[in-house]
Amino acid sequence: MKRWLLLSIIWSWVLLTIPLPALAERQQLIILNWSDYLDPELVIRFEREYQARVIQVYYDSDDNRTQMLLENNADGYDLILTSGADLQLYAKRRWIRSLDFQRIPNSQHINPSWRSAFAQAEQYGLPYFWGTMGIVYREDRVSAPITQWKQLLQPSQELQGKIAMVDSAWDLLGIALKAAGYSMNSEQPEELKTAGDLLLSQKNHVRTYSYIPLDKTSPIVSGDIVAAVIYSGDSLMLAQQHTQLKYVLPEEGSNIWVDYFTIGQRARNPELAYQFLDFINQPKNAAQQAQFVYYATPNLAAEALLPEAFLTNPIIYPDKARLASSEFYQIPPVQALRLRNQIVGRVLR
Amino acid sequence: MKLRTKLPLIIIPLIILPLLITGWLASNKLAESSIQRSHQQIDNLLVQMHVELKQLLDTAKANVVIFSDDPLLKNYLLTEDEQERYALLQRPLQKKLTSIQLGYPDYYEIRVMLPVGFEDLRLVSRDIDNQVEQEGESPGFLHMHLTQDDISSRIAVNPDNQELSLYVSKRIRLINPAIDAFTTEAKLRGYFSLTISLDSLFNLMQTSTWPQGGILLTDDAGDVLYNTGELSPDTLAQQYNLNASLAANSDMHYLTFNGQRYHHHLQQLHDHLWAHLFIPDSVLLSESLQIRQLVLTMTLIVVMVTVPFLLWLIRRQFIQPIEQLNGAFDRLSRDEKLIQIPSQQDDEIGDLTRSFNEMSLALHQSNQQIRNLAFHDNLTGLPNRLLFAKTLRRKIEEARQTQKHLALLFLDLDNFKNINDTMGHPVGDQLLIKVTELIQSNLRSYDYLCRPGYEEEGEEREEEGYEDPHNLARLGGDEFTLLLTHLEAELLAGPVAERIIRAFSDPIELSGTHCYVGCSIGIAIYPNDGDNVEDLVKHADLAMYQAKMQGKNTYQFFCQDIAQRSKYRTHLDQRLHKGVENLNFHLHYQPIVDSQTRKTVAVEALIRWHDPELGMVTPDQFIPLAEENGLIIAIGEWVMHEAARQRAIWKNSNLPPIRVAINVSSVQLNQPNLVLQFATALSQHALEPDDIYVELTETALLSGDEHAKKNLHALKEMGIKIALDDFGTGYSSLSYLQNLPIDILKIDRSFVMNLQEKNNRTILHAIITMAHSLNMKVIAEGVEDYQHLSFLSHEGCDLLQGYLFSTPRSAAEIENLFVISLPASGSSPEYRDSSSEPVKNNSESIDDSQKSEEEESLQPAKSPQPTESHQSAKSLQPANSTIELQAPKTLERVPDSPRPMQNRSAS
Repeated sequence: MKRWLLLSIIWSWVLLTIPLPALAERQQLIILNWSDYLDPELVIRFEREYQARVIQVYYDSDDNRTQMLLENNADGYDLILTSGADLQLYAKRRWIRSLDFQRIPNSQHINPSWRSAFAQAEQYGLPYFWGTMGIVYREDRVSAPITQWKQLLQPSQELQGKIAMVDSAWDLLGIALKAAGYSMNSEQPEELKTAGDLLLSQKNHVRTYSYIPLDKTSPIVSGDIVAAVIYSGDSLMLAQQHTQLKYVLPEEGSNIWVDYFTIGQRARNPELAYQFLDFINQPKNAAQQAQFVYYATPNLAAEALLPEAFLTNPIIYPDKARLASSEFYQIPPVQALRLRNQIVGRVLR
Repeated sequence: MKLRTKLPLIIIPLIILPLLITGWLASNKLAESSIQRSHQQIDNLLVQMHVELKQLLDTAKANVVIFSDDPLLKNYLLTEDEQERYALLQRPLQKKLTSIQLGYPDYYEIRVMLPVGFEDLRLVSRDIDNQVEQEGESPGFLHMHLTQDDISSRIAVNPDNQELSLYVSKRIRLINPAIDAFTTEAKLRGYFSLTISLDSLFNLMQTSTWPQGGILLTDDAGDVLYNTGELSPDTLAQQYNLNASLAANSDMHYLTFNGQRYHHHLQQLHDHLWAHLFIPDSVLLSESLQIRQLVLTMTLIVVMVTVPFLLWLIRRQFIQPIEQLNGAFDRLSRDEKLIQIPSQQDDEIGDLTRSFNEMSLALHQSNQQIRNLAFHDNLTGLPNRLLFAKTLRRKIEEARQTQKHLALLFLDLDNFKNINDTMGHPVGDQLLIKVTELIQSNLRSYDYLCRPGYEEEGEEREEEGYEDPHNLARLGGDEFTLLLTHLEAELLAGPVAERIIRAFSDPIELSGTHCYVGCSIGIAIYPNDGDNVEDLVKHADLAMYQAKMQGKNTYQFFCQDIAQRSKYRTHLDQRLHKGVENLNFHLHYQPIVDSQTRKTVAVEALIRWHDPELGMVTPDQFIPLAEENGLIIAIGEWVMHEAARQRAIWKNSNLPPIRVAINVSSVQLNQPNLVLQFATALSQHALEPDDIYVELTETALLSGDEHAKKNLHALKEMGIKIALDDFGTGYSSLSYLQNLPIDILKIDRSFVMNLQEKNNRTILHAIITMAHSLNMKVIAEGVEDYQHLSFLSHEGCDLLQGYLFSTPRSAAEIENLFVISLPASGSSPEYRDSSSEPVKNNSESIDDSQKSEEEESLQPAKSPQPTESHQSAKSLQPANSTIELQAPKTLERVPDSPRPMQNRSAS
């Protein structure tokens, strides 16, 4: 017993003493974020200007993000990039704090409609980018162009075993619901069940439920995967790796997502977090950022700085008609939630 | 009991019984151990099941504790807001539990339940629809809700999939640190429950080694929760109360189910969970049965292989050799052949066999020897009479079947007795050997001769095709037989006999001296001369006898005459015995005349036999016979007495003194009591020794033994004169004339009758001169005419006897002649008689058959011619006149038929 005590004392001392000099030197900004979602150049610039050190912690899906937050109750994350749908839950969970926009002067450039796109988003989040979810596929590997979710869910011979899906419960069920002709936010158990059956029937043909990498190691480049679910901007990033990649926003319509930056309830350095939010929303920076990630920025001032080609890129800015059939995610009632979890859990089992 | 039965009867049970007992014991033991092993296996299986379940349970319990301690789970249960819980927490928890499920596939259902019994989160690794989400009233929930322990376990059928499963759950009591104080009692937040598949246990049950055995799992009430399918639990339940067996609480029962006996093993696996193992006796025992069968089969196979092999071995090694030996012994006692048994064996039986072979060989050899001895003549090695008879019998049989002829030659040596007597028996034996060789060397290949040692193989050789074997055999003494079986035996017999006789013409060397031995052969032919052994031999013998009579060194075929004569002789023999019994004899007398006075000085008593059946029988017919059969003794004695009686009559009637000459045969001469007989006869009739004298033949003297000599000397001493009859025909040895007390020489009539032959006169002269110089008187026999008379008178022969003077006459008749001079002129009747008779006799003088009849009158013992004693010699003068008379030669026939007979008896 005494030995244990001794050991823990020594460890406490080590942990307390070692970081101290580093903290004294620079402020740390810990960001929970998708990977490749911040222009490194901007980050470097910020670190230089604010004598700070930006530490990014990456998640690879919405669920993954929630799980990470659950593990330590969002403790220590200064900035948390979250989806519009989860934002209210995080707020409810008291993982994020309501923002003082006074301290983010550049928030004035943000398109108000995006700011209020989700419940409580106005209070807790600052829109970062918006986009859609679609299909990227190898034009050279399919006999007919892919235009519908249905083609992915009931794949033809050439696609079987060469499909990459995503493991997000929202997205997975949303796609299936759309393919079945229902609303992505359906609360109807029958509709959900139909969507679940679609997913289960597709399961054998799915190569992976992991989001595909965007660099040149991506299996879609090698051809192991012919079609994959992808977020709109990522497809443009991926397009640099291969010429035959084509992105499509399916005809059934899709999900319009909005990412918000929030500040953690238990952020260590909220001041720096505000400063960072203000920094990246400077129009110039926001424009640079948009061009780095190939997503549509809600920053209207930044939009003005963007080139015409960027602004007319249909992938980044889909036409209105397509967008009309697309939906934001909305949190369904608990029973539907539970049902969705069951269905997805079964698909991903 | 036979050895071939007994030996197997002893040995086979000795092998089979221990084998069977061993097999039986071994199979029993093995079967027992196999049953034991089965029981052990059963126990093992049950224990294994128990262990498996326990392990499952222990692991699950430990895991439940670990999983329940997961912060995510705690967070989840502490999150009372459902939206939060489902939207934020559920998915991550779901993922976590999924990964647990990946690690523990048996935990096919993981549930997080709220205190009210709501299945808030249910994770199944299989597609199992959830029947009820509100479990608040379900027995499973109540169980974990009500147990004292936070951790509870239960085995029950999962209503969702009807599978017997293990439920392990934990109550989760938590303090919400965000709200509650640390001191607050932890509040029940929910349950964590694992539903665990019992597949591993079932697999264990399924892999049981008893195909027809069933395993059931029941609860305390005996309700079947699981079965491996071999037994229908429903039917089982109808016939067997599982509950009762549970109550009995012993771990083994028996039950009969579906007509089969089952072992029921029981093992508690968990609270309220029992394992029942049902194994049919047949299955449980099948291995033991198999083992038993195997062992028994092997035993039987061993028996089946061993026993015939053993039988074969016994048979081959012991019984067969013994039987062989037995058979050999059998044959040994029956067969005459040599019996040998081949034997390669090394053992005692082999030794026995070899011993048998040696013994058999020795026995055979000694048998052969005995046979040789029995069937062969020791001396010459020729087959003896016995074998000869046997062989002849066989040959006759063969000849009868093949219609062949046989020739039997009967050989007899002519001078054997002489040689035997003079040179001794060893030389005689030597002679026989030489003669055998001589005969053999003179037989040609086709006159095959049976030699010693041949006979034993003879039978076989003949059958092998030897052509015409002929057998020479020695019947005994100097008699040999030779059998010719050649196709033309009857034609060859003569030449063969000639060849043999010719061979005898050369002298045979015997111990340094050369001897001349003749041989007479009689031949009888089968079937002409007899169709059986006895007849053939007899006839050959007779023929030989005939040949001898014909002068020896010749051969004679048998003819019917001989046979008849032989028959006659036999008859004669019978009659002679009768004659002696009845004394049917009488004496005739022939005068012996003094050559000077011509007066009768003596008479020779000549016996006459008149048989009622045969009529008159001449002496030369019956005397030799009597000599042979010994009757001569009685006859001689009678003659002696009769002559003496007659002499006494004459003496008493005052007739001139006439001596009576009594013939004594050689047989008589050898009688020791001869002298006594004479003495008795003389004294009985009151006679002087001078009243009689004795006549002997030369051969009687020569053949006589010591008795004969003694008798002669004794007679001489008594004063009885002795005359030597037939002098000049035999050896005429001068030495005995000198040594023996002989008073008178009686010259053989042949000299007188053939007086005209040149030398005879000279010889007669010489004999007479010599006799006179030896002080012997001389009697000449056969004086038949005056020529003889004058010559003999002139030469000084003392006494004369012959027809010229008188034929033998009865005592009454002869008396008349005593007083007259002879030849009386009126005594012509005899001349006339004799002249008429001699005509026929003359030509046949040698012919025996007829001679007997004519000569009857003049055939006394030996010397027919009556001769006068010395005194009457002077009265024999009228020789001249008689010479003038010139009696015809016809009278000569009288002489000597008896001679050969005498010779024969001498030989």
